[in-house]
Formats: sequence, C-alpha cells, structure tokens
Amino acid sequence: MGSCGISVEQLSDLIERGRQGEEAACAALYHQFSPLLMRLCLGLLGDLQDAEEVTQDSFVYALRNLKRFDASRSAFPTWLYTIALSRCRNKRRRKLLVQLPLELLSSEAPKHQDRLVELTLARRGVHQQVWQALQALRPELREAVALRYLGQMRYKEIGEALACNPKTAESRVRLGLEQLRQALRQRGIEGELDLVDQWA
Amino acid sequence: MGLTAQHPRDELLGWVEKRLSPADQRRVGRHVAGCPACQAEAADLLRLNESLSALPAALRGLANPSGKSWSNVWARVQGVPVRRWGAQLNLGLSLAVIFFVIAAAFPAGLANEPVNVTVGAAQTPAAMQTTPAASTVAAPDPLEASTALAVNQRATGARALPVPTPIPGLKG
Repeated sequence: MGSCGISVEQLSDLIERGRQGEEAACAALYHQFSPLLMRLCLGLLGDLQDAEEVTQDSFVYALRNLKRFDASRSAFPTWLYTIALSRCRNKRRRKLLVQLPLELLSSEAPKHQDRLVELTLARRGVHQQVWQALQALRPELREAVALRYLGQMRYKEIGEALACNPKTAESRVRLGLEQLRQALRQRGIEGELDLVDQWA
Repeated sequence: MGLTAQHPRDELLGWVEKRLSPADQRRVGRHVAGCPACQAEAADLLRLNESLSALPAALRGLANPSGKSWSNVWARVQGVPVRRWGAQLNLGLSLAVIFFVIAAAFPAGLANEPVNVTVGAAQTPAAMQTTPAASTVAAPDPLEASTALAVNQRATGARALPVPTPIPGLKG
C-alpha cells in the first residue's frame, strides 16, 4: 500500500518479525497503521475517545493473531480495517443501547469532543455539515463511504473488508454520496460547498 | 425508451473519479455536456468527492493515538493487566459497602445473646403500628438474625438499623 509509506517487502518483514513476538516490529506496525485505523474509526464512531479505544482493541487482537493473517487473501491494512469494522459495529450497538434511554429523558448537547472534531475540520477547510451528514448515514453506507474516503481504499479492497463484491461496494459508496448530497441540500448548504473547496 | 433511462447515473461517479474505460469516459462525458440534470448531479458529486477526499488530511494530527497507547497495547498483547483506576475504585467501594453491610448485620455481641433486630422505614410508634411488615424479630443466633433481617428487608424494602432500638409501647 503506497500511501502508507512502507514497501511491501518492509511490511512482510515486519509482519514476520511480529509473528515471532518481536516488540520493535509490532511497535513499528502499530505506529505505521494506527493513525489510519483511528481515522477510520473516528469516521465510523464520531467520537475521539471511542475511536482510540477501538483502535487499541483492534491492534491487540491483530497482534495476538498475526499468525492468522493470510497475505494471499487480503492486504494487511484491509485485514486491519476488517477487524476494526467489526469492533466499531459492536461499539455502536453497545452505545446505542446505553444512549437511547438517556436520549429519551433529555436532548443531550453535543459532546465537547464531537465539537473539537467539527471545529478542527472547519478550520482545515471541511464543512462541519459534511462531517455531520456522514455520521447520520445508515451504517452500511457510512462504512462504505468511510472506507473509500478515510481509508482511501479501492472498491476491490472495500468489497473484501465488507465481504461483498466490488460492484456492491461501489453501489454503496454511490448511494452514500447520493444520501449525503440530499442531506446537505436539505440543510441548505449545497452552495456553501463551493466556499469550502476554496478554503481547502 | 425515455430520456431518463438514458441518463448514465450509475456511471457518473466512475466518470467523476475518472475510473471508466477511455471509451466510456468519452461517452458519459458527451452525455453530461448536453444534459443539464446530469451536469448538476456530476457537479455535486465532484464537490462531495473533493470535500470527503480532504478529510484524511484534515483529520491528521487529531486522529492520532495518544502517547501512552503503544505501551498499553503491548501490555495487553503480552497478557499483562492494564491498571485501570476506575475499576480499582469501584472494587474498593464495593468492598467498603459489603463491609458496612456485614458490620451492620452483625453488631458487637450479636453472636453471644439473642438480640432484637428492628427493621422498618417508619420510626414513630404510630407509623409502626400502621406498617405491620415492620416488626421486631427475636433472633436466637446470628444466622437466624441475618435471615430474619433479609426476609424483613425483602418484605418492607426498608434498610436495617445497625443498633437495636426498642420501641416503646410496641410489643413483640
């Protein structure tokens, strides 16, 4: 994976050494891939603390099960993303069970960390409404869109991570974009996207 | 076949991302050039595509694991329990509560002589008379005392008083 800044040979070497329990190799894998994984988790969960927790859990599982990784079946980042996706789904499910009764009692103000993400994105030229609309997508569409844009994966890899064929993965991304477009139109910020692009 | 059926909507994203074959890219491009509806949709897709593509760079620095995260991860991989102050505090509180309950159920001298364990939410004689479930139990030994206490607590929902308090005017 070129975007990771590491060659295939280096990655294979790190994985092999990691399988033998070498801490330096495992640390190198962690430092190389944890930001990518956390970015994806943040896109899926919308919460920095949850994203970090799931990233750590995913790496604990991955490093304990490095022997199960089969390079002939998927790329290493795809394997990591698959592990993280499953944990993100569990996290969302658990949070939903806890949050629903609370939300029935009171309309909770947006959490400080959520605001931090939105404000940081706004400062860097991404409209917070785009982020909010992404969070509001149906889970299967959000996963596809997050893998495409936050994971920067190809449709073939998205298909592997979501256990579907590349065409289905592309359809989900397209449907996700269509729903994002409609959501932004409803919020009346369609025209503002032009300004955002100019800031970026 | 109407005009709508000819809109290459399924191919628009591929066209915007320039993933179609050269021939398809040209074909869709020709259609978009002459179709205002597809032009509008392609423009939206292009803007969204650019906004979403800017997310990874915008999240750089923000979505980074904290400094101590690797040591936590490695400790867990090795099977070393990670110290969690919240869990330890909860355990300490739970132990304190259990100790308090035991201390309340077994006051000094309980093991040697029968005691009157008074259970009830209301403390005035009048109120006690209106709550028959709250009663005074003569307990011959500690085990029986604690059993009677538990039964009464279940029945009344009241908590035990640590010191026996005889109530004037109320007969056992």
